[in-house]
Amino acid sequence: MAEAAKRTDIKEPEEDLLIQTERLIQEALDALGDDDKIDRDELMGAKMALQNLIDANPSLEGRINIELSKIIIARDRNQIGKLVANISVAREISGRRDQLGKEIRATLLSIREGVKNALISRSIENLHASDGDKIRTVFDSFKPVTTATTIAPLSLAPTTSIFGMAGTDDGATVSTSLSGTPAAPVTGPAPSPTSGTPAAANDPLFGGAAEEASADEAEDVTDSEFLSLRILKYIDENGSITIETFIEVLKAESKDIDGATVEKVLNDLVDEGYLAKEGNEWKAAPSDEDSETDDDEETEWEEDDDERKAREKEEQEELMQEFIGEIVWGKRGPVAQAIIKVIREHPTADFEELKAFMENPAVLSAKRAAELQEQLEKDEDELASIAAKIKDLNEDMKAKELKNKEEIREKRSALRERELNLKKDIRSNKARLSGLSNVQEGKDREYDSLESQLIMINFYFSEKSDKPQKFKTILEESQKAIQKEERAEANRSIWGKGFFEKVGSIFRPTLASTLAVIHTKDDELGALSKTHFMALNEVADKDKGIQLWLKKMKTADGKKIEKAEKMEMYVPKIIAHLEIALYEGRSTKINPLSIEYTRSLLSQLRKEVRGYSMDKAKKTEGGTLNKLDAYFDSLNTIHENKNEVSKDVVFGHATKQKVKASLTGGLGTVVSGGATYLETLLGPYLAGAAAGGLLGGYLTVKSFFVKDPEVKYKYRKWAFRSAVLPALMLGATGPLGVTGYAAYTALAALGTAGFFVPNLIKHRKYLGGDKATESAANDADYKKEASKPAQAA
Amino acid sequence: MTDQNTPFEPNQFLDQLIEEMGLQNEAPEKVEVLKEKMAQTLHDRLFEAASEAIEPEVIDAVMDEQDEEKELWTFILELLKRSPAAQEAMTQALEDFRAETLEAFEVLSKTD
Repeated sequence: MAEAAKRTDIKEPEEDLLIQTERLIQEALDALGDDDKIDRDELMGAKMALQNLIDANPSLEGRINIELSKIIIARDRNQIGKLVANISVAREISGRRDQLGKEIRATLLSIREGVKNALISRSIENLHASDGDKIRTVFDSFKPVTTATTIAPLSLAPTTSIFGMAGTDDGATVSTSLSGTPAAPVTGPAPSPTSGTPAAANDPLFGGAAEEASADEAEDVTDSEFLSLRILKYIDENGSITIETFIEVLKAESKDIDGATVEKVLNDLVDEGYLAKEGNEWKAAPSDEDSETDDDEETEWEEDDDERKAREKEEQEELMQEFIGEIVWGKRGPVAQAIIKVIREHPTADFEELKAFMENPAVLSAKRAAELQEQLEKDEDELASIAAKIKDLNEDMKAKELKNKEEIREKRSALRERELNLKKDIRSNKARLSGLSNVQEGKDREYDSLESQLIMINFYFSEKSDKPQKFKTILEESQKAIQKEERAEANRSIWGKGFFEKVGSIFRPTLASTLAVIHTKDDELGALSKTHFMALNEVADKDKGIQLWLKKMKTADGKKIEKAEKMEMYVPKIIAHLEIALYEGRSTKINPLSIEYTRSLLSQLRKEVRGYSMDKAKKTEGGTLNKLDAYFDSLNTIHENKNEVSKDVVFGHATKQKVKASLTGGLGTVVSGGATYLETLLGPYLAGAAAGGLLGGYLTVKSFFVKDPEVKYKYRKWAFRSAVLPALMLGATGPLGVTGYAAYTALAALGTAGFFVPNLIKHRKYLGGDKATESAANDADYKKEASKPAQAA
Repeated sequence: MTDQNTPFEPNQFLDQLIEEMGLQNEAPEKVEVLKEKMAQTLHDRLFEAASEAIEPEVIDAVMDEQDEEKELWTFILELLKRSPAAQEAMTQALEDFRAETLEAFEVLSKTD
């Protein structure tokens, strides 16, 4: 206390310090900006600054620490606002510092240690158990009268108790303050719940009302108040108290108080739930026991307990989140998920310790290793002694008479069982020891690896659990957890692809339903016999199937169709529809089950087209050149017919011209102007299919203009795919709209664009070894070709 | 034959094909007409093959990067440039076209 007295000698004006404190906290508050979460570093910075202040005037330290602890614990903007308000009140109060007296200052100082510890460990449990009331006291004393009224009664009790403690080695100060400033202790005639409001009114902190109180009354209260506090203090130090010993203690402090007064005070304290009587002794009441008194005061404290628990829970949750954040910050994927999961499974863990362990596994493992080593040695010793005993028993067996043998045998089997158990323990402990060293090594080797962090966390929890596992098991479990998350992630991404894709792959129409739709939607193809048309779904698998099908092609009313009409009108139409269904099928349209079949069907139809063109060319008059002309003419005509159909199908009859115009503009115009376009694009193939309605509905004009950017992006993606594929298929004749010369320019453009280097692509394929079906002759061809430029050079 | 590492040149390719068929000495106007017709067929074959092979993912990627206001043709070239599958399919189509044309020539030259 002498030190405290010395501290008060420092002439630094208290007011200034308080203002500075306020400013610093205000700064911390401002630094937070709009963010609700408080940046810890900022606060730590503020704390450092405050520490400097404290160094300048130690008497402030306690209070400042409390303020800081409140801030750090609360970590809440509103709380800080309140604290700033509190400091303002404190500043006003500081004007009456003389009244407050040295004892309050001493109180603050003594609280300081507890708060500091609480701050360091950030353990709310500690804070509340040991210092919570003290902090509350000082804090409440700073609060405006309105709030003080409810809390004041209990508020100063512990405070003054500490003041009393201070009095033990600074008696003079104590007595001076007791008698000289009677108002001060009146402040918290605390234990009496009924005295709440008057007590607050008398609080020197909040006004001069105390001075108006009668001196006698003040004296009485002071005595009983002093006694109760002194008793609490004594019990705090010695555990229990009797009236006789306490009177002795008081005498030693030159206080003469009779036993009846002491007993009355003790009984009061029992009534108020502070103490419990056991025979002649009084002890501190068990803290968790519900008080028998049921006045308002008690209710309020119970509520406070609930609040505290809630807050502790919140705080623990926050610690957990903070820990998770530190570990997996900026990292994603299955391992991070597994880590989050395992941490969440242990919400009550000591994250400070876990953090320390993560930084330095030796913290836990060295201790654990020592324990294990000790246990191991103990077990081995026991094992040795048991082995010796068994050996003895074996010898006994040989020597003793038969009747004793049964007894010996039992003894021996009990020993053997113990031996087995010991060996088991030793084995598992050895495994755990090696696990510990593994963790340490793993940390040394690859601490940054998220996976090794997961292993460490699992190891920590395993060691903390009742049944620690082997390191190998932990490794396996960690691996399993990661794999589980990998699977979950894969599932998530599949589902995340959304409705459209899911439906797209499940309900995509098969070729059969697509053919049915084509037959319905295309008037000219609709003129064909439906049964015969639907047979396309089977013919491609049969030998000469497609040729027979073409031969038998007839109209719905059974009329025969000319070969030229078949080949130049119907076949290109069918090809066009199938191509669209197939190309689109890569992304949207056709069921994967049908894709390969459709490909085969298409290639057979194209082959038929070539055969037909060849036949046509053969019949052409003139030389080879004329025949070749006819051949290519036929091919080009059929292709052109096909393209016309494609355009019709793709862009729809009604919007054909419009979209064609936009095609020459740019792809953006195609897509943005494309809701109708998209509908017509998808329409023919989806409307008739089982899920066609679903898909069609999903891509209506309305849904095309959704606001959700992700969904919009998806639509846009599909729209692009749908727009690009047919556009690509139409080639130059699509955008440029003319044949012949346009085609030639398009081909030239392919070359000048510089990326289409057939020989290089062939070479790449050759090296890649795919298309093993390519004949050796082809390879030889390639080599010959490849060597040519070299020779030329 | 084109150089191993030079980009595709339709003119050269078709001239060579005509030469292989022994038609280079025919009347130049007639050859020019044939060449144009062949070019059309070749064009159709190439783009048909490309649109069949192009990866939807490439479309997505190009869509993300490219300016929408670009002309469609530029866009298509960019697509082909980025799609190895389309390029392979086009190379194959080129081969097929050559083989088929030579086959047709064989057949047609004998039917006189």
